[in-house]
Amino acid sequence: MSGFPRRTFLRYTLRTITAGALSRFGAVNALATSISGDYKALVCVFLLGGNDSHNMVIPIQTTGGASGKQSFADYAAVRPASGIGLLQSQLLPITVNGDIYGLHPSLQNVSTIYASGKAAILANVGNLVQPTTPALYQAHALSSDGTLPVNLMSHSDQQTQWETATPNLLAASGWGGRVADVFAKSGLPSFPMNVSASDGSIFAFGTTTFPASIVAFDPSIALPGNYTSGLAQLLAFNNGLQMVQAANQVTQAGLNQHAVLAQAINALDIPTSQSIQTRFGNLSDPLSAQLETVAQVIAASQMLGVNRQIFFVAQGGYDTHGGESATYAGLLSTLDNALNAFFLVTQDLGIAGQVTTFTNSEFGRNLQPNGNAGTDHAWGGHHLVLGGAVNGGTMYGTFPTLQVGGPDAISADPSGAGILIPSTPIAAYGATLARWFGVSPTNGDMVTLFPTLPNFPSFNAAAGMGFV
Amino acid sequence: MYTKSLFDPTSIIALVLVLLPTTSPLSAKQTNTPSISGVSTGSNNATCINTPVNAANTIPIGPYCATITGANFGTDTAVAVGGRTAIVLSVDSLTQITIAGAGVVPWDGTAQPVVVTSGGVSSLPFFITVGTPNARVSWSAASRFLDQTTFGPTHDDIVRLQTLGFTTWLIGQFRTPQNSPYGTTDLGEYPYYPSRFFFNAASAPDQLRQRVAFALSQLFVVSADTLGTPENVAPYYNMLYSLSFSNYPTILSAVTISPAMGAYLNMAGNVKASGGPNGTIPSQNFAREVLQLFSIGPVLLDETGTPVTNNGVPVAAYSQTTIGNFARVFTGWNIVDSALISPMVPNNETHDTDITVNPKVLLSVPGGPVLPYQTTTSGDAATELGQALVNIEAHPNVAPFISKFLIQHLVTSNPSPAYVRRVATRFAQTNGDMKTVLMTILLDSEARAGDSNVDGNPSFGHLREPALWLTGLCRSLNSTVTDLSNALPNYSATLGEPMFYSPSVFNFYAPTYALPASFGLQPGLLAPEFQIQSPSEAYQRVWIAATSTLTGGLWSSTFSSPDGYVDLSPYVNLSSEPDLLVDALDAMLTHGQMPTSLKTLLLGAIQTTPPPIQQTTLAIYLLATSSYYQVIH
Repeated sequence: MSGFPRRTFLRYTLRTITAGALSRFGAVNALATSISGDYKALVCVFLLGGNDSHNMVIPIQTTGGASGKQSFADYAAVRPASGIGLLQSQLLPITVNGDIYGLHPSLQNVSTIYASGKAAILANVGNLVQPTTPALYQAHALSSDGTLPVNLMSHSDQQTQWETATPNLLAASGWGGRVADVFAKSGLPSFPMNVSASDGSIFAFGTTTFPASIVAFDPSIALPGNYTSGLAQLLAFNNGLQMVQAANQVTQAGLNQHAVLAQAINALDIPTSQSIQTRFGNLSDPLSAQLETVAQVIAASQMLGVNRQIFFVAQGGYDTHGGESATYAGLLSTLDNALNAFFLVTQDLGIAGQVTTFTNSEFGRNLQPNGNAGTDHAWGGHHLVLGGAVNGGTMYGTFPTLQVGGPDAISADPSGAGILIPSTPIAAYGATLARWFGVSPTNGDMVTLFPTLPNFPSFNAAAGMGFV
Repeated sequence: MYTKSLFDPTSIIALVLVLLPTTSPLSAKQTNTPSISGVSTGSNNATCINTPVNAANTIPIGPYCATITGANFGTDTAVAVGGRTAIVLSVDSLTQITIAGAGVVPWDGTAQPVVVTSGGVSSLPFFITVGTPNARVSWSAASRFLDQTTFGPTHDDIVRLQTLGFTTWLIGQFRTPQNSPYGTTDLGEYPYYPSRFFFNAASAPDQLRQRVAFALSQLFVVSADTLGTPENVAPYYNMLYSLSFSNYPTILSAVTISPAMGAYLNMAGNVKASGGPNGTIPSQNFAREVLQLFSIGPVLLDETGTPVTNNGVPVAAYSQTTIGNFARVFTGWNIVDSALISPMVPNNETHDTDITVNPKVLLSVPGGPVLPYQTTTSGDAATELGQALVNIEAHPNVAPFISKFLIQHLVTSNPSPAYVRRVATRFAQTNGDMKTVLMTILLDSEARAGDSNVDGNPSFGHLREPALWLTGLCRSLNSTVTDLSNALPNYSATLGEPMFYSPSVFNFYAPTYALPASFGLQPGLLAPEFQIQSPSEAYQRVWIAATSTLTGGLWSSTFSSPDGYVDLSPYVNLSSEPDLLVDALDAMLTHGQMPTSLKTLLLGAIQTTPPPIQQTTLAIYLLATSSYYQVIH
């Protein structure tokens, strides 16, 4: 086993900074920060805890569902307003090819972006090994034979499987990291392609590439030179202990990344910094803080010398087992404002069509509420994709039948009758994004990223799902 | 040939010269040999506080000051202890000098010579005792053991453990009187309770109980981020702390009916299904997490804690139906105490009392032993809860699952399967008796191998989580924190471990976290604490260490503020002999086992920093941030 490829971590140096990027005076109108026209970024927003998307996207008058018609009454039957159900009058109506759905009232900005054609909804996405029916689920639920993903409905296992796009927990790298591996084949970038704002998530780690971390990043601090030079010598110490080597790598990465990132962000011109600061100004939640830093890194991408970046941010709190209504409204409001601020920044920087933001969550939640006015762990869930390149204003995938014990439920048994099987796999979702980002759909790279793709022959990787 | 005779005038003069009194000016050169009559530590010299007081003619391991008494100490006196230069702080008189030195670990329990040299003449060696003669265990073994059982080794704790031996020390810790770490009359806002955690961890005598309670709080997790304030979490922590040395069934039972846990995982107010597909179902939150996190884990394990697999696929330990049935058992319990101290109480009106139409089938082990109460037999809320807990506790997963967790928090992230089996066996035999399990974990050959075979096992050890890194430095450097200090709680939160505010029921970091492949290390190496050690958090550790040593923080040369105080002058005294300084730091921080190559690196890094204080703080900073110290091994 060879040692960690230290070439990835040699000192980074800033590219020559263009005069335009550094002009601090006289940039009256357009922002002086220049970002390559070839630049693209993916931003994964992971909703930790399991997003109750049954209350995020609600049918009002649709041709969806097994019977060819699904309306608000079907939703209200299983989620009455006396419990956690929303009233039709509260919903923000959106159209999907003539059908009418409603978004949760907190998603005001997202619904506006949706109406402008720059946001799309992905219906009933989830972790699947192969296309799965209730009969298949019931035949294999107790077999542990690989037909179904392992440890369904377990937070940690499902988060890992979403991030690795590998259902059997055997992957030691995330699919975002494997995208970076693919691009690294044609030469390592001058700074890590991937940047993670969330502790310990594997999404951004490749098999050979390592992400930069902004979890505790603070560009206002800087270690004095005599302190870093001494430490550099000690970080070379290796007496064979694996944990010591791991700690050396992480600390060395921290020293390298901080110096370069801080310098780049501190060199952003004033109009750019002010735009970011203004758009995020009145938002103080952790998700907004992460996206604000992401915006700064994107703005600094040319100084970092990269034209492809993948970001991972996360918002916690979605595990709404009890007292869901007010909590969920608050969570979506925070998400809505953060996504909006970030989208506006990309427009300010003139790169809205070059940044695609998409949600993930380890699972959706049980259609049937529990007695604590909350919901429990389930499986498939709806997701949002935003960006100037998105073919928005519509829904992709197949909307499920909202019936407890119905045709999409894992079983009729009360413990699972409200758990709906996803119809679109993570693989198709991710492969569509990866294709837009620049991964070839024909040379085998896509299957390295998404090993279950061959199990879904109806998905065409070259065409993608179509949302971007 | 010339021979002297007795009557030779030169020989008579020589004879006369020898017989003359020594005060004769002619004899002064030959009779000013310095001599030593005694060595005592803990003098009241202003530069010599913080030296442990020892018996006469004894020096401790680690940095010390001592007073040497004797005769003929000129102003040019030099001193060597054990053949190594000691620093003369002051020549107080012809008969007394004050020195600073370091007792190095290889000298522990031996006699070492002290030699003073004045005017080019050396004294005869005066032998002193170093450290603890007749110690039951070595300094290195004791120091390592304390890194596994306390929040950081101190000089006095090491010596005491050396004197008692491991078993007697453990028994003493089991018997140490407990208090409530979080008083019920405590008032104050954040970060008062987190401050109290660090104050107790850094200074209270019941170190093992606190360390075990800390581990248990990371297994049976509740959090102020859901419960609202740390004040709502404090009684729960008091409960874990009081039960740390009891047994697993008692702990699991107390956790299950705890009001804090009831509020956190929604068992409080959980009601039976209202009926029909458009009715409500019981909350599955506690039912799932009590199995997945608090007892058996999601997959079947063998007795070594290794997942059982079916053609490479891990075999599930329970199904969704099982979860649903446990959820039905855990209905009908309510909080009656708004202070969240008194346990929840049952109410059969909201409890699912059905045992006939749809029996509650609980855990079974296909092909394995028949567990008690695989189906509940009573419709009563309290009885069924008891039956369900017995059913869980009887599952063969519990012993390896809980044992491995405790090993990971106390000793090493990657215990060998055989180590887990040895501990799990004793766990199962004693129905989870904590004292037995702890002794088995700590006295096992795998935990103790590193006492003498330093770093012989390349996958051994674990990263100091933020709390242990912070308290370890405080204790080992004799740095005191006050119970109102904001510094440690804020540092810990920046580093990913906000005390009382675990981000989810999965704790700050998961026991199953493994290093990603791109580290290029042993595949599947578990490294739980690395889940909150991203590069940016690693940078913050370095920053915290730098500012706490550079600009007058908790590990700087002297510091006194409402946050705490420290006096590192015993180390500063040694800075003119950097190799002694490094040896002293090695004794206190790295068990006296620092490899020569690392010492050389450290010496090289500090040698160009001349002033004594900066050189000392630089050495402390470098060692504190070195991976060799950051990993407990």
